[in-house]
Order: sequence, then structure tokens, then C-alpha cells
Amino acid sequence: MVIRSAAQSLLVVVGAFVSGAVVLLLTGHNPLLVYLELIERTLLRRSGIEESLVAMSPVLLAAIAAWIASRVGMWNIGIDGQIVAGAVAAGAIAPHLGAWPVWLMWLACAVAGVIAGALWALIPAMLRVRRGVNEIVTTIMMTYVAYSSASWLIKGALKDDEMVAPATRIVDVARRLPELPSTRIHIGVLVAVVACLTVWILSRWTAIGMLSRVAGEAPRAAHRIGVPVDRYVVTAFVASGGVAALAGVNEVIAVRGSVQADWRPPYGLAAFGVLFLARRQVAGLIPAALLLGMLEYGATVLPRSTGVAPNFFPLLEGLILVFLAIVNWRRIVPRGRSLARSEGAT
Amino acid sequence: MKLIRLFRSGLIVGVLLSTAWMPWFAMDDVSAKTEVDKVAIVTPASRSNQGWDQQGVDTLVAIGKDRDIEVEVVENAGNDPITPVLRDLADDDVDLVFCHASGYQSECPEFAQSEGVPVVVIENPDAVLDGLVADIETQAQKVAYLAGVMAAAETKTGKVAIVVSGEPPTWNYMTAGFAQGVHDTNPDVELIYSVIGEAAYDDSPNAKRVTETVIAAGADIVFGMGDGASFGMIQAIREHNAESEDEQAVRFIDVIGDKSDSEAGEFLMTSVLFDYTGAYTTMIDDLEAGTFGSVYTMNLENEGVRLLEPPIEIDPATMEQVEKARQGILDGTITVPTISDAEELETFLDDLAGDQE
Amino acid sequence: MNVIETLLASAMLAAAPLMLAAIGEAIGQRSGQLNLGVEGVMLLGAFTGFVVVEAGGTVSAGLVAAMIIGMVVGAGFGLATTLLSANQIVLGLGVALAGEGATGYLFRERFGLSQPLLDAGMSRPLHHFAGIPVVGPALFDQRWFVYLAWALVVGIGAWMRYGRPGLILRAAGESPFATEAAGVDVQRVRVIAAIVGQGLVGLGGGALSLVEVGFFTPGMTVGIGFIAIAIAMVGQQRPLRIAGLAIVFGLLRGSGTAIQLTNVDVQTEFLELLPYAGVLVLVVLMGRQVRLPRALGLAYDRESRNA
Repeated sequence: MVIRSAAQSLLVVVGAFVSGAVVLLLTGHNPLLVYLELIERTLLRRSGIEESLVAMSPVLLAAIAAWIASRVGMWNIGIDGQIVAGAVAAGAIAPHLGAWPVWLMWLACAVAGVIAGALWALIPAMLRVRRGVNEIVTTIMMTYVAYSSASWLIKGALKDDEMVAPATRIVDVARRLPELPSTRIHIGVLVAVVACLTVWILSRWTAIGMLSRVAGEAPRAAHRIGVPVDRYVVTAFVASGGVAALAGVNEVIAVRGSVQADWRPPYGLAAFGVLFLARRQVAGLIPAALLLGMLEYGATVLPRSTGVAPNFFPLLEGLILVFLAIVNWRRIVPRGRSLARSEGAT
Repeated sequence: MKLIRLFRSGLIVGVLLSTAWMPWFAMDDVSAKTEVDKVAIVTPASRSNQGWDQQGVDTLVAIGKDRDIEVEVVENAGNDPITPVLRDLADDDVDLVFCHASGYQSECPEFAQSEGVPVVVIENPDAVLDGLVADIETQAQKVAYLAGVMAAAETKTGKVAIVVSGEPPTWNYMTAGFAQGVHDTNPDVELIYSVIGEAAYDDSPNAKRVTETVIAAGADIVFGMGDGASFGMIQAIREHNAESEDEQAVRFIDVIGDKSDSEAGEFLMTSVLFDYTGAYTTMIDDLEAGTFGSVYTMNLENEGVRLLEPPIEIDPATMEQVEKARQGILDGTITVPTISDAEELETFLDDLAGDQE
Repeated sequence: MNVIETLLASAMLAAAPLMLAAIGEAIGQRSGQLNLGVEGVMLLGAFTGFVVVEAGGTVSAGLVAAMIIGMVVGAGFGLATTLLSANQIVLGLGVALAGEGATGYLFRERFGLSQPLLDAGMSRPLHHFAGIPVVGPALFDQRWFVYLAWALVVGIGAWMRYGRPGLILRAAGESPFATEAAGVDVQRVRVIAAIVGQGLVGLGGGALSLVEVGFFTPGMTVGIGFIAIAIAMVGQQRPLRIAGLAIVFGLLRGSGTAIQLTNVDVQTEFLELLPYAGVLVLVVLMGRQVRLPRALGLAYDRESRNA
């Protein structure tokens, strides 16, 4: 079972890479060289492995967020907006907590960020549950509202006066999340992995974890047996937003130390790639996220060594999504969404 | 259970991988050099914008050729964290990195301190660190003043527009200088100031829209600061000129680069050119001499900034006025405001407009 | 032309690509398909049109090329979702991402060292009447394509609402099984809807680069594609509503500049918020009124006989 799913995912990735190779050929590059360079730089170099792991962290968190939402049959397309919300919240309070012990500051930032992300997801969730508004549209709009609001705040109230490009006041390197000794892997990466494990445990061994699946796949049946579907949906969506926000918090307390006004996190769509590459199994999220983390890192260094324009990598990710969509997922998409049931039931 | 098996195998693989890392721990070493063989420049957009990114890259490449130094160019690095790129360059034994964007203001100094590779940042004098971080400042306001003189002398409608794609200090210095130049030359000329967006350096469609609006408001000379967005401004002017009489033609004053060979050449009055040659050369020299770690300011006096020779016909009387102004600045009879903060700028512009009443 | 006139005129111009994309997406949605890849298809259309004109073709040729590429993607989307039961949401997202990546990549590879600008070349047939104050330029000083866009939107919209094909489309979107039982090949309807719909989206993209802006830059759609999806949903697939929403949106985007010129102290970032917040508010207000086809986004599998 696991082997077959893994094989199918592998096939998808291969398919995407082959299509990408065609594009490379058409523009005069040697795909073999490019791909070998990609593998060499991301897997066969110590710095590459480290950077790929670091790049994996936000993608993994975003994927977990997408997974939680999909568990109850919802599509959280607004992950990037929630990430920004989390980052802004953390970036807003971090500079004021200079006197606090470091770990407390981190905790505070995390809490603030999660709340911000959760709130950001709450609006589309409530709109969906109360007024039946499709969450796809609302989450996308919320993302753009997040971008503009973030710019407005960062350029205004939160601006670091000593910096030229508008950004929140920077968190000193000494106060950021520590790295694993002798590596560049910051603890945020571990946090992401731990989050993944936590979600796995919750989904298998708690009532809400298991029932949420029923709520997602057969909402009417669930309702009939007394599961508070709406409440589960909102809770899950809000949790999804909170988890996504952690990626933003990491940006502030680990990666860059601040949020810049024009930051547009590119993780929202990749999250779905990871989600479906992993066949919506929590265990598969980590390796799939690592793959996409490698691609993200590759996009920063390959243009210089191969001359390939950086846009090639989003193209590759998009192709992965396309191939994922095409491979028959009838068993993966919650059955509640297929027509047969909804036509038959009243 | 299958998952337990999966976890077990995962654990084994993980342990194996981590042991494979051990020998590599020892391989990290950064050797210090004083001879500069290889430099790099990181830019947010690409050379194709014929402005900011191009000036930096082309200048460095030219210097590299001259002094037999290898130059690594990383374009289109965008606004995402560039630390991976910087580390990659460090792995490749680069001796000096030019971080050519204000958006890299925090990452580059941090990188320099943690990896020991010297960097050059822009507009960040506080980050300067002996031997590790140097800074380039651009004080273009005096040359912008001259551009303002030219604009005020040449405008037929009495309205001159300033269109910017953001309000970083580099743009603000020029806006203030230009405005003062216009005002001193002809206080009756009306200045229209418009910001496209908060960091709209590549937002051409909006730049086009904004420019169309200022043209509609009557401006016949546009002083545009935009990087990639400048093309939107240029396109707006092109379209307007194609559909109007010659006397109603709008002209453009550019910044940083030299677009005379492009479609803009037909209506390009001049440009406030940024020439990085002096700055970059000094930086490299400093590094080789061991005195790296200072602030280099590009301005009128050292010709780091200068006016481009007008590609189109300009009234000789105007050019004389410009020259006179230039002398005035050099000998101190003319003072040009030095304003880098956006709020101060707004106040300054309001005051100037108030003067007109 | 004064400032207000320019504002209105540029709003009308900005609305053209948007409403074409919106009505195209609406056609697809009517038949039960939700294509989130509009952003990518628009970019593909914009890029294709640009390449054709840059190579020497006429603007009309460029627009047709843009439409064709949209149709090709639409065909792919339609076939994948019907024959292969592909997941529409994931496929759409993939198209959006791949489209943006592909166009950015190809653009940089081909035009890496320069930024070509296209010659402004479209006539303004009703220019004569543009003298009317305030609304004159907005209504009469537009290039002919804007009028064509209006004609298409209104025409197609009316056809969808009142014509027989429109009814079939709607039936396929609401109750595909019943429609199939009534003798209609629902899969074929969906594929055709996708082709026509995305063709219009591609055309909208072509309009963006060829008519509105005059050149191509990577990622130039900046979220317009998603706005089009929202407009399609909120507009209830009704042509006038869609056009109206598109114009309002164009106005909101242009208003930023106009407000600056009047020296009112509002931050540009806040104004950038308005269009998106506006759509949100609309969606909330119209909440229960927004009736989407019951089968929207769901995989229609002919084989699966339930009930």
C-alpha cells in the first residue's frame, strides 16, 4: 500500500521533471546537467542539505496547515496571508520584548503569531459555515488584504527607523532561534517536524481528530450521528491558520529577524503540492516537504551556476501540481465532495 | 503496523545520514585573502531594467575585466531571503559581495559577520564594520537640482511631474533636490508629486496609469524614478506623444541609467546618472590594502552622480542656466536640501507649494 | 482631459481584460468547473500575444493567438477533469503556478537583457464624441478593443442566460446526472465550456499586455486572475453585473493616484487594500444570494452510478 502510493508520487515527480526537461531543451539548456546540478547542490553538499532542510520548514508548516483544513473537507488557499499575519504579529511585539528571557520571547511571538493566523482564518471559516460562502474565494481575498495591511503597518506604525527598506525592527542575531551545533539548521525546522508529529498523534488518538475526518468526508452522515460538523470545521480551519502563521513567526525569530513590507511568502501553492504528493498522509508530509524545500533552495542557487532563469522552479512546482491532479485521486479526495453522494442524499 | 515499520526505517536512514555528515564538519574553513580574485554582485531584478540593477552589474563587470577579477552575477534575487545565495557564494570562495539593494540591509551584514566574507551594502551606514562591511551612499540631490533647473526652464505648460515607485532615501534625496531646482528657477511652475506604490519598483502597469494621470493633469515633463516601473512611465509617454501634436509632446527625465538607446531616447531630456565606477574601485582597493570598512558617498563632486548628456535637442540657453547652477552649487552660493525621510519630504514639498501662493 | 476623466477612462480600460477573464471563468463555472488557474492562463495569453506582436504581427493577430492559447489550456483542463477525473482545484492551482513560472521563465530566457516596448497601435473609432465632459473620454475615447470586450461580455452573457446552449450549460452544472439522463453528453458540454471560457480568459490576458499596458513583464497580472474568479462567483454569471464589478474594481485601483493628486493624506497601501476588501464585503453581503451551481468543483464521473 505504502509502496504503491510512494511509487505513484514518484511517478508524478518524474513526469513533472520530464516536462520541465522539455522546456529546458526548448530554451537551449541541457536538462541532464541542470538536474544533476540540482541534485548535487541540494543533496550532495553539506550546505545544500542544511539549506534544503531550512527551506523545508515553512513549506512543511504550510502543508500541515493545508492538511488540517483538508481533513474537514476545506481548502485553505489563504495560507500565505496567514503566514504574513503571523509574521507581522511576531515582528510587532518582538522588538518590545528585548528585556525578556529569550525563550519567553519566542513563546510570546509564537502565541501572538498563532493567534493572528487563527484570526485570519476565522473570517473565511465563519463565512463558510454561517453564510455558505465558498472559502476558496474568501481565503484568496484575505491573502491580498493581508499583504496590503502588512505593508501599511510595516511602513507605518511598525517601521524600523534605522532601516531604509521598510521592515519591522530587527531581532538581534543573538536572540534568534539557535541553530543545531555546527549546522545552519535552526530549531524552527525541528518545530515544524514536531508539529507534524503532534498533528499525527492528535488525528489518530483523539476523538476530535478522528471525527473530523468523518465530518470532512461525509458531513451529512456525521451530522446525523451528532458530530458538531460546523464547529469542527471552524476549529480545524482556525487551527490551520494558526499552524501556517508559525511559518511567519519563524521568519521573524529565526530566519531574517524581521518582516519586510513587500514580503510575499511563496509557500501557499507549494503546500498543496506537498499535501498531495504525500497522498494526504501525515507521514508523507515530511519527505514531500523536503523535496519542495530542495526545489526552493535550488531556485536560489541554480540560476547562477546553470544560467537557468529562476522562474523555472515555480514552473516545475506547478507541473508537479498538474500531474498530481491528473493521477487518479478518487480515493484521496474526500468522498463527500463527489457527486454521487450529494445527488442521492437529500 | 505499517507506519511503525516506516518510522523504524526512517530512523535508521536518519542515523546513517547523520553519520555521513561527521567528516564534513571538519571541512569548513575560510581562508583570509588580501588579493581580490573574485567578486560577486546580488541584485533584486535583472539588467534588463536598464537602471539600478544594470548600472551595478555592468560597472562591476567592466571593472572585473579591467583588473582581471572574476565577477559572479546573481540577478533576479528578488525580495526573498538571500542568505542561501550568499552562503553559496561564500562556498565558492568569493572575496567580496556587493549587495545591491536596500532590501538586503540586514542579511548582508549578518552574513559578513558570520561567514567572514566582506560585503558592500547600500544606504546603511550604521552597519559599517572594519574589514567586513562597507557602505555606499548616494547623494544625488545636487544633480537632481540641476535636472530641476532644466525642467523648469523647458516646461511649456508650467507643470512638472515627479513620479516615484517608492520613497526610499535614494529617491527622496532626488525628489527634494529636483523640486528645489524647479522652484529656484521658476517659482510659478507647479510640481505634481505622485507615488506609485510602497515598493513598486517593478510595477509597470500601475506606473503607466499614474503617468497617464499626471499627464492628464497637465504635466509636460516627467521626472521618473522607477527601476523596472520606469517602462510603464515611458510607455505612457510614448502613447501620449504618438497621439498628440509635437508641441504637446511630453518629455522624460530618467534616473540612474542611460536609456538613450531605447524607445525612450526620442523624448529623454537627461538622466541623473549613477556611476558606480569610483565607488566599486575604491571598495576593491580598500580591501586589497586592508582598509576596508568605510562609507563611500557618490555625489556631484566626485562625479559618482552626474547629468547625462541630453539625447535630444535642448535650448542652449537652458544648458547655460544649468551650468550656472552647477557652478553655484560647487562654490556654495546655492544650497540644495538634503532630505531622505519620506515625511520630511512631504512637509518640504508642501512648503514649496505654499510658497507659490 | 482632466484628472477625473482620466480616472474614469483608465478604469474602463483596466476593466476590459478583467471582465473578459471573469465571463470566461463564469462560463466554466456554469458548467460546474472551477478553474483556479485563471491567473496562469491570463499570463500565458499576455505573453503569447506579446511575443506575436513583438515578432512583427499585428495586435489583432496577437489577440487571436492569446485566445488560442487559452483555448488550448481550456481543452486540457476540460479533458483532464472529465476523462481523467482530475481534481479541479489542484489542477487549477497547478496551472496558475505553472503558467506564471512558464511565462516568467520564457520571458527572461528570451528577452533577458532588454525590455521591449510595443508600439501603441489601436485606433479609437468613437474618438469623435469624446468631447462630452466627465464621461466623454471614458465612454468614447477608448480603443476599439474595449468596445469589443463589452460586446463579447454582454453578448455571451445574454446567450448564457436566455439561449438554449446556456440552459444546457446551466443544467450540466446543476444536475449533471439528470441532464445526462435527458440525453445530453455532459462531458462534452463541460469540455466545450472550458475551451470557450478559457479562450476568453486568454483573450483577457492578451488584452492586458497588448491593449492596456503595451508590454509584458513577468507576473504582471498581480492577482487579477483571482479577482476575476471572485467576480465570476459574485456576479452570478450575469454579464452586466460582471462588467459592473470589473469597472468598480478598475476604479478602485485607479483611485489611488487620483487621491494622491488631490493631496488628501491617505496611504497608498490602504488604497491597495480596497479592491480586495471590497470583493470580500460584496461576497459577505451577497452571501446567501450567491447561488453557485450545485455541481461546482465536483468531479462528474459518468460511471459512478449511485442512488
